[in-house]
Amino acid sequence: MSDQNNIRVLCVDDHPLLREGIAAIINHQPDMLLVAEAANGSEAMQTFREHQPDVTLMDLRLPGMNGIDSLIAIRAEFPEARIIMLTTYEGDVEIQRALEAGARGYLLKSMPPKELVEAIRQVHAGKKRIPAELAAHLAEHMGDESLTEREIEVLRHVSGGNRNRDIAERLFISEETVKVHIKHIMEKLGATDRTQAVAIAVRRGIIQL
Amino acid sequence: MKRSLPIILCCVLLGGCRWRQPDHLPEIEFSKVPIADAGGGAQLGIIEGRAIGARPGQQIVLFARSGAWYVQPFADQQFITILPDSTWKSATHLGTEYAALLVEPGYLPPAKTDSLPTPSGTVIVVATTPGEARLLVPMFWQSWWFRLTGGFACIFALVASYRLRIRHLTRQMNVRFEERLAERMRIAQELHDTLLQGFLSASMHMHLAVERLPDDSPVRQSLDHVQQLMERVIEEGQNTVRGLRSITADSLNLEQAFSRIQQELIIPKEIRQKEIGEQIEFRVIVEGKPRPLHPIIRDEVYRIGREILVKALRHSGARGIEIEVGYAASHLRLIIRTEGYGIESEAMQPGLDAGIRERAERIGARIKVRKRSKTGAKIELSVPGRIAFEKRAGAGN
Repeated sequence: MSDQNNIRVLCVDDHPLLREGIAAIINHQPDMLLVAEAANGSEAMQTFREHQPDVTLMDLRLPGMNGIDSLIAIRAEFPEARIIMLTTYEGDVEIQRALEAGARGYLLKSMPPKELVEAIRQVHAGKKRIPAELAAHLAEHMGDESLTEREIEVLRHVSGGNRNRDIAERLFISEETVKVHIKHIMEKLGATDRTQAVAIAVRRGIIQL
Repeated sequence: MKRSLPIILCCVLLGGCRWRQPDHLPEIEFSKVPIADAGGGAQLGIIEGRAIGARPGQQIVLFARSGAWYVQPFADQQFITILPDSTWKSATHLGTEYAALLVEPGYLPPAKTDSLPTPSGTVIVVATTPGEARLLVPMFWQSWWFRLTGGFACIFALVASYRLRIRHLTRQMNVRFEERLAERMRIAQELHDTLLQGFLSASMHMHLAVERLPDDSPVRQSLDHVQQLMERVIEEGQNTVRGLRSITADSLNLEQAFSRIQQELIIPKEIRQKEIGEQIEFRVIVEGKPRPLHPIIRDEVYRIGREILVKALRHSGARGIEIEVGYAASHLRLIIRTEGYGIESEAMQPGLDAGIRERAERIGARIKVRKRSKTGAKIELSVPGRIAFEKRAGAGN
């Protein structure tokens, strides 16, 4: 079996254990080959240039540059790159952002390996792949009012355990403005308190852990 | 005869004058009297008055009463001169009563006497007056308005300090709330990074291993089971990370959380049931209309309650437990009543003194332990409403 017929896969994930699992799955397939692994965004860029894989599996959460930004960077250089986002969570905002950025597929790590390899084959064949449950999740929040950049920034600070006053100082705005932002955030997310707002935001992929 | 009329008239007049004289005895008035005092050598006051109708040469002798009467102002200075305008004035030692005598020259006053002389001979008039009552003119701090103002000031100070303390506690609570939020995020992140990714990888390997097995392999079934378990763990892990759920019943309200304790503490219960063959009665009661609690308070009250229950069950051998969660306008109250096995409430005191009391204090709560009967105890925890309840009433689902 020559390399030419195999689907050449690049796996980008910062967890060695997980890369090991994915390597086992890919290399177990007769028609696939794991050509390289990368642990972060810049490594991904480098290895992509080097190997020019057919399909790239990209973790959403990477140290430094995150998965979506890495995807954008790669596609800026290689517009034909077929990248599948592989993540632990099904946040609708992240799915949307990834798809807008040109991801060909969006998969959960917890899906059975069969689905993963099936998706790789489909994407390699030029199709897009989003599992039904994720699509439903995406549809659920379609048309929801999205948070502004500033609100997301405030929310990120809230999740970091900052008080309103600290947030105000860091963003060079008044405490009152922070309060207004938080009020809007809670309204948009349908949260009743700060914890819930953070939890919802994390779940929907508005902010990352 | 005619000549004698003026003489008679004159005589009558003169006689009349002389005749009426005893009616017009001189009088002594006091215009200023020192305060009434037990007396003593140290304090002096001013006594003033008038001697009306006194004749020239007559003088005033003063006494002050301190048990007996003492001549004033000093034993070697006993006579006070009446001024031409009939007034007199002198210093005097303090006494309960004061006496002024109008005397003819030649009167020799005693330095000390048990009873004042009566007017006769050289003593013309004896006048006495009690000392001024001390409280007759109240000082400003004795006036009603001063006391009222003082009372209000005290109340105000108390309220202010109470509010200050509440505000301090609330601020502390908020700081801790933020800290806890950050901590949860960190824990969630760690869970995501380590456990979850490891499990995901292991699950992938397991899938591959199972796929390789022949369909009729005897181990296939058990491996399938392991795989299902792992999937469940992964799912739970994901939920935990996404929901940032703490280990305590986070999304539950207080009464729900307490109702669930029973299941959590089911093991000792079963053991006891086997050993003693007796069932523990466990009840959760809600008083008042439940209101959304500050998350920190809910967690803390839950933990305090849980600790008490564990103690009650394990150490005092409680048979019956009743938990009452009371939502009042001014405070949140948690009452735990235990019916035990003869180990009394004292058994719980040392533990309460240390950990639980400290916990209660940190959230501004008061805790009381009362022995109800020989075998039962009542523990009451009360948290001020301002601290306990969330401001946005009705914002909860």
